[in-house]
Amino acid sequence: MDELRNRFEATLLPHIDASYNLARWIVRDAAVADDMVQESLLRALRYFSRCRESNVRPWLLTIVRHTCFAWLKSHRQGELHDYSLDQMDLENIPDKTDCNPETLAIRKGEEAMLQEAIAALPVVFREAIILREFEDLSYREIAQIAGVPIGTVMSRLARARRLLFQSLGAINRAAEWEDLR
Amino acid sequence: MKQSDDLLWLSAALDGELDIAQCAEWEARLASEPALKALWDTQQELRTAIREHVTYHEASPALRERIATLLAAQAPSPASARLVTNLPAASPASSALADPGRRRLWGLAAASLLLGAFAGAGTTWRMMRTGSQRRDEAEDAVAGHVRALLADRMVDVVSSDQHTVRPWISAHFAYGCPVPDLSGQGFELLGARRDVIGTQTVAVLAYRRRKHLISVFVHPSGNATNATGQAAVRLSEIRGFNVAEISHAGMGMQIVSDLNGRELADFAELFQRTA
Repeated sequence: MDELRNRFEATLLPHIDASYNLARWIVRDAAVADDMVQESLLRALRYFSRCRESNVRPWLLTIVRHTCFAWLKSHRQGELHDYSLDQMDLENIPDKTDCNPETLAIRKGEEAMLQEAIAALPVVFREAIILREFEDLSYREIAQIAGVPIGTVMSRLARARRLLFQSLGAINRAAEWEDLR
Repeated sequence: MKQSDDLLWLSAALDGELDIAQCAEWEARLASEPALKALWDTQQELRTAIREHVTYHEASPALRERIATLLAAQAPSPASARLVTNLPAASPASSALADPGRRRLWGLAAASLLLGAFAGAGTTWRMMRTGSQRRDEAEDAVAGHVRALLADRMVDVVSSDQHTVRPWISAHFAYGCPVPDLSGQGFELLGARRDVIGTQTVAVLAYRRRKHLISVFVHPSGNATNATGQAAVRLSEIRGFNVAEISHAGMGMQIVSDLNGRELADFAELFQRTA
């Protein structure tokens, strides 16, 4: 019994925070994220006996991701159109603000802007950034969770970073403009 | 090379996804192309900013409670109810189990896993435990660490001051233990708590590295090395946690964390050296 209890304790429940963080960043709503995590854990529990993964975090996050995307599909269909961005070449992303490295320094007080810039990313880019930067997952693991080839993960991350540069670049320029006034 | 390719390379390099040959090529390019190097630096800055400043949303206590309640509400079958009563009496360390909701949660989990088939055979599991004593100690340490995380109770005495933690341990245990100050090396002392290894109540020091909590279980060791010799750090992975085991002056120590193995081994060595 001890062993079984320990297995359950040690495998699923320690990843509640990771699950919540991913859900929260995907659906961008605290209450909905709560529901997503709850539903995901129930599902995970149901399939737990069949889980042969030695590392359950990506396994659990896959369930969370699917639960959240199912919710987006029925509640915020519009957000899923972002998929089309995958077909777009990197150079074709509208680039009105060329990113000037010097203007990117994240100064104090601009953290909120970075936060908003990530929240404003298309959902598939956002999840890639969250899984990579917060959960330190490899491209292979992210690909498994998002259900796409590794190459797609690579280009999503590259695009996501470029989009972040662009929005932060624009923000910094706006701040400089404010300073001038 | 197209600029878009550069961005892919840059991202992959940043994420440690290049192989050795690609790495060499990348580093050569960085050295010879200042524009690329500047972009690389900003990418790293962006990464640091994200990791340090963007909110990592943690599950609220209310959500944790809700999950426990919901799972408990799923009408435990007689089989699982019996399993619950088979649980050992709550030790000081397993305070997480004292809460009836949580107990039922384990019952449910157990039931869903075992499908009731093993319900009457709780002892089978115990008999199957044929691992060495060391393995058992490491297993117990991981279980204790997880319980502390779940109950959100890493420490009984909260202090980053070694001179507060040490007397607390001497006062509560039949032995003293070293409490090295490793804050200079990036390991913040959080305090200490009581936990159980086997049937023995032991002292646990809690440290933190970034967001990773570290439990150091300290107890007089049966298989002690000689007082002068220091055994090497033994590193293993149990259920997704890294465990470093060291011994020092007749004391055995299990160090458990979700910190990566390399840094945990560094910590273990530092601890052993400074203890």
